[in-house]
Amino acid sequence: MKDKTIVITGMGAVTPLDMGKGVDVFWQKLCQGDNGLSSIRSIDVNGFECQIGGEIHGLERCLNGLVPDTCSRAVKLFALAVKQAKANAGIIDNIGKVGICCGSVLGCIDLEENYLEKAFFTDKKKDRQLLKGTPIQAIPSFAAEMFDFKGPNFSVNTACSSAGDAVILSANEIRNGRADIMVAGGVEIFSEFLFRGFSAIGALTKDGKVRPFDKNRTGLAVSEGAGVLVLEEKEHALARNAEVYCTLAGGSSTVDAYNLVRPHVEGQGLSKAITKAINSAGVQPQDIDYISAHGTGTYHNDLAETKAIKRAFGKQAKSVKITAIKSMIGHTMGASAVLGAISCVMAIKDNIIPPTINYKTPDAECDLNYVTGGFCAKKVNMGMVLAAGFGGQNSTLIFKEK
Amino acid sequence: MDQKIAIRGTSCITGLGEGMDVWLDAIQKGKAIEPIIDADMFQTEINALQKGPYEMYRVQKITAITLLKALENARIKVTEGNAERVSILFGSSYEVERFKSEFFKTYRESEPELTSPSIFPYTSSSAISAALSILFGIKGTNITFSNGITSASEAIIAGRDLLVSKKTDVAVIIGTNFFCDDFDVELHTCGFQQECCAAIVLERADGIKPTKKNTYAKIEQLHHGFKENSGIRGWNGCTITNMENSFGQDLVVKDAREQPWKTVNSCVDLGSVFGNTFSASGVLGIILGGLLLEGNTVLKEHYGDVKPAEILFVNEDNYGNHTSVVMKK
Repeated sequence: MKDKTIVITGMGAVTPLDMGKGVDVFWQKLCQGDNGLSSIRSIDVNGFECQIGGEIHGLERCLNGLVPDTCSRAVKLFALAVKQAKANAGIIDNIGKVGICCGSVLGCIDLEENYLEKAFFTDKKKDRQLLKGTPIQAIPSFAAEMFDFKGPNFSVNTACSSAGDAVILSANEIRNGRADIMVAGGVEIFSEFLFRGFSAIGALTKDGKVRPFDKNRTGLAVSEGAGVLVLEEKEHALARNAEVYCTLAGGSSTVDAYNLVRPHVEGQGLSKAITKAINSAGVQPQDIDYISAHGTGTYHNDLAETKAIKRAFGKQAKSVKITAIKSMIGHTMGASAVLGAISCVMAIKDNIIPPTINYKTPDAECDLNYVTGGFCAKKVNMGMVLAAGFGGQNSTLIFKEK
Repeated sequence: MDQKIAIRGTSCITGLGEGMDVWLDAIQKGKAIEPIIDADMFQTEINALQKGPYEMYRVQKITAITLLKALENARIKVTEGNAERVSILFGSSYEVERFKSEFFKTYRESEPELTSPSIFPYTSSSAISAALSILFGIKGTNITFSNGITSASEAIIAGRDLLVSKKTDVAVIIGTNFFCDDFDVELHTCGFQQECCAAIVLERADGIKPTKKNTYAKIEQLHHGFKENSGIRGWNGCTITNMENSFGQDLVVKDAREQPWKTVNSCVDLGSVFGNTFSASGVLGIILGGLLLEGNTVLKEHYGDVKPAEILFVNEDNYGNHTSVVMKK
């Protein structure tokens, strides 16, 4: 089977930076180095060291009745991102077989939280219909119904690599002739469940900021968001005069098989994912101009990620420019890889690399070439996204100029 | 589909122990079946697998045994040399609800600094397959599909793609169906009858002469979509169906032309045999298909002298997501 060239023809993003206003606003604020994290409003955080998070306010205004109120917030965020991407890519009826793949970690956790509260603490009643609305699959299914996408429709969970794997699997759908277009990405909502979980494992920031790779980094901030890319076979895109942003040059997915919470101390699994992605793209490390790092701001992740990049890039590790957008939008878990991917796609389009904010004190152990003190204007031919999650799940995507 | 995929091994664990034929025999004879799997049945194997000081959770034990039995059946041993060439594709939607419920109750009733961290990592459905990778040292691709009833079917499609593209040499597909007391009403409403955990081991079919010992069946075609079953038009053979909306009933499946193409009363409906097996159904349908292809005696007694040359397995959830797999001997 002749290998097909997969290109990106559209995007959608809903994050605490843009508050649902779309990719252009998201990108503008990333380049400006804006901080999308703020004091948490939706839950009571009294008694917690961490008081900040990434919450999207005014979502109902952006939705404008798009999704019934009874649906999970995850369904709403994802549907909004898909709506943006559909318009951006010019997807119309009879354009071909369009599918969706959605990555998420906790999916419709808001519905489950409500249920557990009622079932075990307040009403003491169970909901017979609960399981029909709570699986992660409810998210892409609702979007498929809403936008009449009849192609493949499935959801994946590889922890914080979920959206990266969604993109990789979606490209396979097109390569194997099961779809003409795939809308691939991820979503995660801010919840007390997620906040309490990361607080319990001691991963949350203690000084009100997320400082990836900084010597004084203290942890991550839980956030919410949704993002999607529209993937299409190049000839199909050109035939319908679609705008092509860039090419998906390669990708890979690995697992550390090491620990359920911490990454491999030497970043072995992630470095293998990087090397496999580079090989799959048929390029060399020195061809990568920009890395959108996983960069959560935790001690262990940032250190392991640094080691992984060094192992995979060798001498080139200190040349490639690196940004950690979680410094600005926090950790969007199942959506994080695709939001990093959008920053790559836009960097290639505009030849601008956004900054890592809150970086003040260099760490001798994390000594790579971070973009700080404002954005960097640089020709970007090729960008890479890194994602690493619980269970040692890793995914890497490479995009190149069309 | 130009690359055939061989099923080299299978395993199926239920409250009766190991083997789908044991399960079918019990159903056919009207025997009582323990709805909850007792992991102690496999204590010797579990003890041999156990690593570290912390005892595995029940879900981990049962999925580990399922994986172990499937690899043994396929005569595959995971070593340092092949670990990166073995992948796990896992179907799981409700298997961690017990952990979510427990964690919720924990933090709901405790102060911030007193909330135990131990359960939280298991609240993601990806944790179970990740734990299997850690236990067995499997370092290839590891993806969990949370697709409800079609989870394991989607896992099969992804596994096939990995094999055809040679990104892996062995794809183990695992499908799970575990009960949770805190969601008992909900699970029973959806048709839950008994727990099961099943696996199939896939490899590329080329290069190995198929025998009864090394090839359970072959996968010929795969298709999936949303509310449009256009991949299997004109099918006129034996069918296994699993339709979440129509459990235990005769039904008609429509294709894109809005024409009824097959009634199932001459074929096998998975749900009417086993109840709703949720994320395990995608694997169970394949294992059942293999038994039909070989003319299994238990099935003969139950369904008559059915020994088809090929079988279509259609799996569809109540949203409208469907998958279809054609398998041959």
